[in-house]
Amino acid sequence: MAFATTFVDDVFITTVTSPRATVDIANKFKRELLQHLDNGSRHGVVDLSDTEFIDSAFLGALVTALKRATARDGDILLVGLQQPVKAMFELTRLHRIFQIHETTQSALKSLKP
Amino acid sequence: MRILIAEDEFDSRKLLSRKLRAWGHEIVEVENGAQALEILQREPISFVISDWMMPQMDGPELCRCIRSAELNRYVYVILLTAKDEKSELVAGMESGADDFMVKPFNNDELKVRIRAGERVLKLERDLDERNKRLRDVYSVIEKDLEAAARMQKSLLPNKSTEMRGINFEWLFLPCTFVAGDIFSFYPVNEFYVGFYQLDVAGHGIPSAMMSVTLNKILAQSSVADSMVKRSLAEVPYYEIVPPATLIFDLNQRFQMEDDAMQYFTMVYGLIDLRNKTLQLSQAGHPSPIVMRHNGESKAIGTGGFPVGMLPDLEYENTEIQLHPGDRLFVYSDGITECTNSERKPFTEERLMAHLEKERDRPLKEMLASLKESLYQWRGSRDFEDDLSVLAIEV
Repeated sequence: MAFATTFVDDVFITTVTSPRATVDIANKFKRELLQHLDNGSRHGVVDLSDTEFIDSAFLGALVTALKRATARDGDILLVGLQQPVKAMFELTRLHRIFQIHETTQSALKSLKP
Repeated sequence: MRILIAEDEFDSRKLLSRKLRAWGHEIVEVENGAQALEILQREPISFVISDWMMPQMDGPELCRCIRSAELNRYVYVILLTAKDEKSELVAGMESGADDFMVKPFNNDELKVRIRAGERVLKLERDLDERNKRLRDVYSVIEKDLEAAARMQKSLLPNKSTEMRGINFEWLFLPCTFVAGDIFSFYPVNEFYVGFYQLDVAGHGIPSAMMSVTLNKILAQSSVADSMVKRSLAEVPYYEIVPPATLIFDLNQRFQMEDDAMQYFTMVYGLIDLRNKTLQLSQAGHPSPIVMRHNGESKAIGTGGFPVGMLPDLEYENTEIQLHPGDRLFVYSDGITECTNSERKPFTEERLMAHLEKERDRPLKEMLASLKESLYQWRGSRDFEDDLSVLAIEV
């Protein structure tokens, strides 16, 4: 499996375990996130610490999930962006759309009221 | 059912064939394996009951010949043997027999074994039928894909075009039959030349259809009211749409459906022929490389959102002054992300280094050698993504 999900209260934390987050896993990944959002999680955190490369198809999956989350007043937060991944977010300006944190702890903390 | 009996002993053969006829089967009798094989090649019989020991060609040899004969059907073979020895059975199985019976056998056993054989043959026939249908469907899809690829190729510009003193060259290496990359260049009016390159996410037919649609929309450069030109109430009755505005408009028009994930990255540029200024806007696409005639190469552009992901986003124009001999390379991420056998990407650094090394060669030769480098890097001509470069020299 290229990713795994745990929960802290009703926030899901999906960790991408594959070093290459690409078109090969983008669809499955998108379905995974949408399923958690549909099952009652308002917020989600995606941990990309292990990911060395991300392509536009995978970005598309993240944006699709973000759209659904924000439509319901929720959010998708990203943590652990390595340099090449960060560069891709900057090239596509998506670093302005997503909340990006250094660690899962700080991401979870920012979701507390 | 038609059954072929191969048995050299006259009495046994007649006894067996009389039984089988009585159960409603149609029987063909032969005396050895060679005769059996000859009949099977001529007549569509799928069921054989053969003795083990026969002159000329024995039972196991007959099995081997049947399995290697490339008949147009499966032939089910029961071998008859006088002995019940394991080593014999193994030899018989290795020769390709389906079942065995030890002589003498009783009627019930024979009936059951024939019925089992009939079931196997029916499964074989059904499987064959299904495979044939799959083959038919696959060949239709293959033809459609080839036709789509031809159509898409026909939309690409002519090679080595000089347009109003500007030299255009390109390189295009599609990943499979059809591609998500497309690019073009055209005169917008007497003072401006426009060009674009775009890369639709994903591969295959949906991406190709999208790229063809976008090509049609962007190719309407001569129409006064299009994405490229906007009509005005006064002379000259149109204005040229700045690159960032054009991409903004495309983004508003092509918002992805929730599940389709149909979006694309692109670069769109305009060159003013009078003073050689270049204006371009970038949307999620790799930053184009400018190679100065007497200077260094560097990536330009400010980044930008991919088109179709989110509505109402602003895009930026980048303007730079070009001088005679300057070159511009617009490329898709298939180049920099092209992996070698160790799954290492080609990278922007390697692309830049290659272009620098070849900077004194004509544009056309530069791209030809880049193509060779990419083939070498990849170790084959099969790419996982479309690779394209649009090169411009002023």
